[in-house]
Amino acid sequence: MSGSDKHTGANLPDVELEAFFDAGRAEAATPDATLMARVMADAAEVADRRALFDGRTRQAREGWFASALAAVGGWPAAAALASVAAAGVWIGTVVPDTVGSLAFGWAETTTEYDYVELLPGLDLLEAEG
Amino acid sequence: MTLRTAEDAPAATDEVLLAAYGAGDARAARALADRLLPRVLGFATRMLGGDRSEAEDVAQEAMLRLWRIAPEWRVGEAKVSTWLYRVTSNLCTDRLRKSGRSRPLDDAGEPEDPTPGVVAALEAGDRARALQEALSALPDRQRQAVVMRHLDGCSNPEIAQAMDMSVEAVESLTARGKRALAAQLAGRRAELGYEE
Repeated sequence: MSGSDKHTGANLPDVELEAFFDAGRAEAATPDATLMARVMADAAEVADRRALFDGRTRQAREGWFASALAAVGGWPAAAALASVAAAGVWIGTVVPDTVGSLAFGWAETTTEYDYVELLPGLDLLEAEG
Repeated sequence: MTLRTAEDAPAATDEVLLAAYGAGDARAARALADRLLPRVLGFATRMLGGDRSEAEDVAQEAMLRLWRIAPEWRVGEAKVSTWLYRVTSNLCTDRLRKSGRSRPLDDAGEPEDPTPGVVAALEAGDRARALQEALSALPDRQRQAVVMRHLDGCSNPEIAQAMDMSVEAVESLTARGKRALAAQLAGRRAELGYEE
C-alpha cells in the first residue's frame, strides 16, 4: 500500500519500514466482548430514545387530530360534514352553468301577465253593498 | 430501510447498514459495529500512544456519535468510515491536548541521527511496539496520516476528506511522517533484529 510513496529517508530502506508496518497491522486491535456490549448498549439506548421521541411526536399529532374530530362530533359527524362540504364545492364549481341556464329562462322573461278575474261579479257585489 | 434477512448484512455497504439502523433495525447496528469498531479502536489506540483503555472510551464515544447521527445521515456525501476517522481523530486530539500529550505539527523537526541499539533478535511484537513508540513521537497530524495510509490502508483522497485537507497535503504529510519514522526506527534496527 505504500508503493506510491517514493522515499522514506536514507536510514531505513522501504522494505524494512514495511516490515514494521506489517508488524503493526498484525497487532490489530480487537474489541473484547465488554467493549462490544457497551457499544451495542449505546446503540439500543439511542434507538429506544428515538422510538420514544417518534412515538411522542406521532401521539402529539394524533392527539391534535383526535381533539379536532371530537369537536365536530366524532367520525359520523365528520363524515357528514365532509359530504356537505363536498356537495358545497360541487355546487360552487359545477352547478353555476346549470343554475344560470335555468335562471335565464325565468329572470330574463318579459312576459306580461294579464289580470284574470276569477270572480267576475265581485265589483258589482261591492257596488251594491 | 431494513435488511430483509441477517444474511444481507455482510453484503450491505456501511451506508445501507447505517440507514437500516436509523430505521430501527438492530441487526444492522451489530453488523456495523462488527465491521467498524475494530478499525476505530485500532486507530484510537495508535493515536493515543497505545493506551488501550483510553482508546476503548474514544471508540465507544465515536460509535455513539454514529448511532446518534444515523437518521440524519445523507447518503453519498461521505463514507461512514471516513466520517468515523474524523470524529475519532478529533476525540483523540482533544484528549491529547487536555493531558498535555499533544504534539502540534510545528514541533516536527528534522529526524535525529539514529543511535545504534543493542543487537538482539526480537519478535514481530517488539517491532509493533517499536513502531507504536515511533508513531507516538510524531506530531498528531503526521501520525494520523501515516496510520490511516500505512496501517489502515486508506486512500489519499479518503485521508484528505477525513483530515479536511488537499490530497497533495496528505501526500506531503505522509511522506514526512514516513521519513521521520524511518529515521527513528533505523536507530533500533539492530535491536529489533535487522542486520546493519
